[in-house]
Amino acid sequence: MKNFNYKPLLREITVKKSVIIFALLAALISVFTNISTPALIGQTIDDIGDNGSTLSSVILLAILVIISAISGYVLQRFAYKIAYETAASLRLKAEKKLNALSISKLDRTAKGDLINTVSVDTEILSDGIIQGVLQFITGILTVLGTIIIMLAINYRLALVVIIITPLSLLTAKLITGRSKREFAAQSALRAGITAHADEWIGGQRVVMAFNMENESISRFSALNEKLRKVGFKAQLFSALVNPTTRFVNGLVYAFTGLVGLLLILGVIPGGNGANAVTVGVLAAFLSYANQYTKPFNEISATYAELQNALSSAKRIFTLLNEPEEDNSETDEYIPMKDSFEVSHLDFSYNENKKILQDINFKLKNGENIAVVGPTGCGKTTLINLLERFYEPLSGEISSDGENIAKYSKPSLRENISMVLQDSFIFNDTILENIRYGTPEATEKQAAEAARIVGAHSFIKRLPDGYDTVISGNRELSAGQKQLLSLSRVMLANMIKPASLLILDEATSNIDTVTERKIKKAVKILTEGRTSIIIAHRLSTIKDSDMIIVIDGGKIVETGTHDSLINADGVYENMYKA
Amino acid sequence: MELTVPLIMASMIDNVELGVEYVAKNAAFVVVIGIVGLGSALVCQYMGSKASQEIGTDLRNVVFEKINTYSNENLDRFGSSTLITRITTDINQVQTAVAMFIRLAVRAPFLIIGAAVMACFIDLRLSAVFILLIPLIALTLLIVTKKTIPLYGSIQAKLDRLTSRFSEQFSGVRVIRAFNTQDYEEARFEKTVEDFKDEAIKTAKISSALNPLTALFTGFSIAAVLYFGSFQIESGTLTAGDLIAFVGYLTQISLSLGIVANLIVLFTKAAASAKRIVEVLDAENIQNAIDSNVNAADKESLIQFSNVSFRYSGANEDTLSDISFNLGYGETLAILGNTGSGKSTLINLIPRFYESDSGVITFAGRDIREYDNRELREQIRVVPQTSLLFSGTVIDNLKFGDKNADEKAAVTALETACLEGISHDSPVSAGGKNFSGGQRQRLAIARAIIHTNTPPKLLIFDNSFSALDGATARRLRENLKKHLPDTAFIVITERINSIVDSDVILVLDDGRVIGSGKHEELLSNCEKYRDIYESQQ
Repeated sequence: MKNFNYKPLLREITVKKSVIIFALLAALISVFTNISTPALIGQTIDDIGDNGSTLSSVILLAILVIISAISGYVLQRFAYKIAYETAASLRLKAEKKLNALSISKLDRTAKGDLINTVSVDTEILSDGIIQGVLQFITGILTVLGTIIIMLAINYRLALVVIIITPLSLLTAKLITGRSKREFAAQSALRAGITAHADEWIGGQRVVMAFNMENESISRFSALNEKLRKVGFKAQLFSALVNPTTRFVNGLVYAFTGLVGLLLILGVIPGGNGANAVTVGVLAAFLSYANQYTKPFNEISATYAELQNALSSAKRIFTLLNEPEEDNSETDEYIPMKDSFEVSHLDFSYNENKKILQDINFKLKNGENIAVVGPTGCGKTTLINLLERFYEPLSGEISSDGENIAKYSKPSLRENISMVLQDSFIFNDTILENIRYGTPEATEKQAAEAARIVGAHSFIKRLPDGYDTVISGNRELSAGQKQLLSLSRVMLANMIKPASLLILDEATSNIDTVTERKIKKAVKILTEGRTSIIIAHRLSTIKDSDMIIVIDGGKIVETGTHDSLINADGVYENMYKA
Repeated sequence: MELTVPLIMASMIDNVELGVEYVAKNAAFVVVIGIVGLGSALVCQYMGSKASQEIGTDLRNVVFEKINTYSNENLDRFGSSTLITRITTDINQVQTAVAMFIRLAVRAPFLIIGAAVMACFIDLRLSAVFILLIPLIALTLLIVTKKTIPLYGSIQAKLDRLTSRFSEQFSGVRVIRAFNTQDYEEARFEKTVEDFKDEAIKTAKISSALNPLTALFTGFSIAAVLYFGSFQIESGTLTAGDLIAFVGYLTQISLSLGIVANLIVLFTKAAASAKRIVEVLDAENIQNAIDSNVNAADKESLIQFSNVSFRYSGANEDTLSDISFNLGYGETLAILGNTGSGKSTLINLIPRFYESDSGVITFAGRDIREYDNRELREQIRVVPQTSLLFSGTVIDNLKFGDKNADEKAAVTALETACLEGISHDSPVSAGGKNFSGGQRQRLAIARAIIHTNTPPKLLIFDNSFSALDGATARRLRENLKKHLPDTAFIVITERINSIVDSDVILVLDDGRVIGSGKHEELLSNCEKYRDIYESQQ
């Protein structure tokens, strides 16, 4: 455990100070009562015969037991509280992290891996914290307390116990040293299993359609088999710790008993006078020796949980330490008054293949531009750059002559409205989906936006209308989803008009009757507003002020519909297809 | 074994006067007991580790296999995020419980019972405390577990919610950033996290009582034993050593009960998890016929729908009602209709992704329910609306369509799907995120058409050309006709121009067929069709 840095974990324990103080206090009381009980019992037995003293000792004992139970309860409750609060705060941090990572990082990350960190690892860690708080705090206090009492009772006997202790620690260390690697491998495999389940169960419909069940199962069971092997080793090593420490502690106990008896017998000198070892003293002492070794046994019994927790904590902190997207820009975006300009824009995801090359165009306030081109030509990448999901390799995008890279991303995105290619619908009501991003909008405004884009009629027919909850159980068709995302953008623009509107293939899945409505709606939306439309149906963009044709990442033609239609180029070919 | 230790100690203490030799002998005996105990504990641990890992592994495999037999109905009902938590945290929970059971539960009850029996041997009258102690503890265990089992179930359900929120944030990250709703999402996520936490803390309040309560009861018993024992010592019917041993056994019981109490908490959690696992395993599936002879063919009709109706479970209205049509071998059927008119639902019935409620669907002349689903799906390939790809390489994905696909077959399929520029060994990230929408769509098409042996009898395209430009779409259609001349097509589309020469065109409205026939026929007799047609000219 030495290569684990505990500091960040301790810093995460964010519960109120009072909770920790209470927990410590409860631990202290609980340990005190637990320690003093055997002394009291020994005392009681020794005093049998002294009239009346038994009853008062027994009453005292009962009171101690009650205090011990109460403090034990308080300690346990607070241990849980600390663990759950810490887990909750880590989950929130992980989620904040998700929102702070760059899109390019997320595009390269397996979702299941992150899910595993937030649900499984955090769960394992909180179990570990519960054990940690209960065992370590009480353990340390018990060890300290019993040492003091044992020293007080008889320092010779106490020294025997204290000297033998390192033996048990050493054996534990010897065994556990090997298991760390297995525990780390186990955590990684667990994440792998979650990632596989997330991807393949998430895509179960495709798996089924292609009879790929056996393939999916065999991959899963291969991972699972690896987990079994590693898990077995990890568990076995950790399981060996407890019996071994128990054995060593058993030796301590026996040895103490032996020495004690020899002291009574006078074989070992020094058992006279004030330090005399009586039968009662030895009985009490032996139960202290037991108490003293108990924490070692218990910590070693939960060794697997603790080790697991540490591996999980490591994975959580790896996520939390992931470098965040640079969001240091502080300038507020100034809404565009004159023009957008894209100049010498280059982009590539990896060095050897440029997706966009030397893209140049200018978009005056109020103009509508259409970007067309064969699929895979780089249109969607252009959107990624305009929204600053990705940063250009070279060249720049400027608004009124200012590079947009200097503005804070939120302020920029607030002014660039976008309908994405894949409409994403949240697991929530239709209403909340429409006013996503503009929670201040009223129900009436949301319905109005839906009416304009032509979504109102299908929404009305859903069982609960605007209050229908969209979940996995109620899949909307792709067309319906697009209508919803259009309503969303429409509403946002009704509340606060954006500087630039981007529609990425937004109308591709909608039947043409509905599309006619949408075309009208888009017209209203784009009227007098600067917009970029990426569409495949060339009929939808005939009226654009300028059409940019991209092929192979380069602009190959620019002009209006009328000028391009007879230019004998890519556009004409596409149009006549 | 360990049980005898206090007894030996007691006799050593009582017989101290017997001298050094006696004491040393007994001490050695204690060590021997320890060694034997260690040996048996190690064997027990080995078995425990092995058994719990095996059980966990088996459970994961069985549950995963079960999910792979699910119909869409079941997938809808559960949703993927709960299936994922069940296969991960729930099974982990059960696995831990099994490990702990073997490690501790086997030990603890023996220790308790053994200690109780030993105590009875020492003094029967003092053992009367057990009569009170045992029922009290049993009652406490019963009440606490009864209260917490349902709570643990609800905790796991809240964990599902939390997981699905997080998963959604990951998938919807572009929308979230575009709308600057990170704070809103954080607040929503925080709510699910708090919900989960509150429920867990609430449960902990109850389960935390278990251990202190049992300790309280045993503590009182010790006090009582001391009190009554003192009279017996005074009257000479009990030795001090015996009393110490008796108290020692009670302490032993108390400690073991503490372990049992913790185990009970663990088991209650595991029981709640086990219930969730059993739910997954118990879900009923569509009956799958064994008969696989797809070639017992009717040469006239490939697909026939007769009065087919379908309703999603829990819905108030039919999504499809009274659908009938007929499609011959090698023919093309086009389905048109408004968004939400039931087109996708209709095609989902053909490979039995969903089961129709009434009416009959035949494939090659036989009811589709008579085929083995796998054989049926081998003959029917679907290109779904969302082109979901899997992480790996392009050819890994193409192998979905034909396990034996080699490079040559891959190249042919990619070329047919107008993906000449893409190499068969290019990497694919989860979901196909590293490809553009149009490329994903064409990869999904290549996956459906790839074959090394006989091509599929039927290909279904659910709006699968929507992200393609007109020229590519046309080229793709020509390629498909050329490379798969004997394959029938069912095409859902919005673009009439692409389907005017279909053998049959179905016009759907609100789940009903309102027009069917060839292009010219529909132009003259279906108003809706005419509307759509004119809107596109």
